[in-house]
Amino acid sequence: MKQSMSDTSQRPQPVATAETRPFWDGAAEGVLCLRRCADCGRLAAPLAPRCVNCLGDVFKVETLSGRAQLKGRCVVHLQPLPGRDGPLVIVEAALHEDPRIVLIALDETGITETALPGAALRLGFGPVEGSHRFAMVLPPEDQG
Amino acid sequence: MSIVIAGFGSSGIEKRSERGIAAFALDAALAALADAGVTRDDIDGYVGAPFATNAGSPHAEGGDEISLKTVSSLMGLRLGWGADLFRRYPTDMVATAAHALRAGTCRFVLGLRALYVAPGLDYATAASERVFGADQFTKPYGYTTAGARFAARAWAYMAQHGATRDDLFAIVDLSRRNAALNPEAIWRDKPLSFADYDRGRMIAEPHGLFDCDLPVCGAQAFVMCREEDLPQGGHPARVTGFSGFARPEALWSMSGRSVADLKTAQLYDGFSSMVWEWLDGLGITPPGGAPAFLRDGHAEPGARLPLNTFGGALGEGRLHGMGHLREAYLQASGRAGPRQQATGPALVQVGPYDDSSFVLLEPATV
Ligand SMILES: [Zn+2]
Repeated sequence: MKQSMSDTSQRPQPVATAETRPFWDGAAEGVLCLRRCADCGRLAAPLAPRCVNCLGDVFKVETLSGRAQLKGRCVVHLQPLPGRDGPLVIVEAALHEDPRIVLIALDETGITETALPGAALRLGFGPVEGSHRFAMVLPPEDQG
Repeated sequence: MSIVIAGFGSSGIEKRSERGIAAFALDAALAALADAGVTRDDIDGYVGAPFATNAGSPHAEGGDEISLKTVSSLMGLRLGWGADLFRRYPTDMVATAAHALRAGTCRFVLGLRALYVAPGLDYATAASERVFGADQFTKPYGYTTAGARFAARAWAYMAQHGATRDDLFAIVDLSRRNAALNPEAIWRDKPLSFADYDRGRMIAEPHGLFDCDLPVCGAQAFVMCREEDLPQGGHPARVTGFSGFARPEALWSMSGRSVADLKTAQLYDGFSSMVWEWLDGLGITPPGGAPAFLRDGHAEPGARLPLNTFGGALGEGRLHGMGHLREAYLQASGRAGPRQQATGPALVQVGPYDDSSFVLLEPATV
């Protein structure tokens, strides 16, 4: 059901906070950025206000490789996402730098079609939709 | 001090209804009071968990959710204490009621959970203009709908352990056969062949239509008290253990029981693959062993560990774990009728792989 007062014809637009802004700023440049704890060196999930390990709150923003392992994958046959037709291939990608951090991305090129859990992936970001670029599994030519 | 569930009640369960959520809630509450042998005026405590779980829910009080405030006002309750648990499960409701009863805060706690399918809404949508908090990393990918995260986990499990759609069907099939003995179940007269199952349209691979529980309008409720306060005509089952998923061992240390003592298990099955999670997770089966356990018939009625003997959510409808709790109660109190298995410790688990809780119920020796 469409809500008359808002534009729901495009992908939902993230509303960043201080914690998540480095991620989206990086995404706008097409790079994967997370924060690393300045005290113990643990990588922080985008939403985390403090380091889950030492509970410190001093982070350094770091550009990651985009390398990841395929943790989960599903093909959604409903049409939950405005602006997308046909089945959606959604992947859970465990980051190479810390596989405890799992990001969600779309595979829009079918590269994970026959992949198994643990398969190597590269994550990047798609074109601007609305005012954001969203995580995607890079197509074969960019898998490097 | 022993804490008991003294009675349980269910509304009818319907796919759609002209009646509102409050009508279902009060039907269930009155049935629970009658079953426990108490009156409305005896109730001085309340615990609920009103959250509507569908992605597109309007979260409307008295619409598709009903909280303590509305229930107590519509029933004319005079509560000394009560609480609604945000995004928690019926198993947590039991633990919370047990705490209040042990503390002496109240004598008779009404527990209630109602679900409702509001007409005219697309529940399976991620459409929204802006997304906040955790949603910003999930909703723009459609990950919050159709059980995508459970499907993704099922995919990995199946790939790692060689399970197939036949193994998913084994769960759905067991649910449908068990539901045949549950008069409340939405699918009670609907056996499902593998061919039927396989013809069901895909929702989120590997889950097809019949791997998903059906959203329904319905409510179930219970009454809990200290065992010494059990009313004449009440039907007790003892609450002997509870724990959160991160410390499942607390369930066994609190109850003095072990997996080997279990007579029945009601494991949450909003999606079929979810029952593998805690068969493996609690060590009932070795890692990856759950599909074989089902395939070999160990989860059948009368077998080693009868599972979801009321048909599960897949057979009864999506009461978000209330049906599981009710069945564990009926099994532990020896009142499951034609579904009755050996009486003894009855396990109930409600919630997903990364956020569940457990309750153990046992026969009261009165
Ligand atoms: Zn740290």
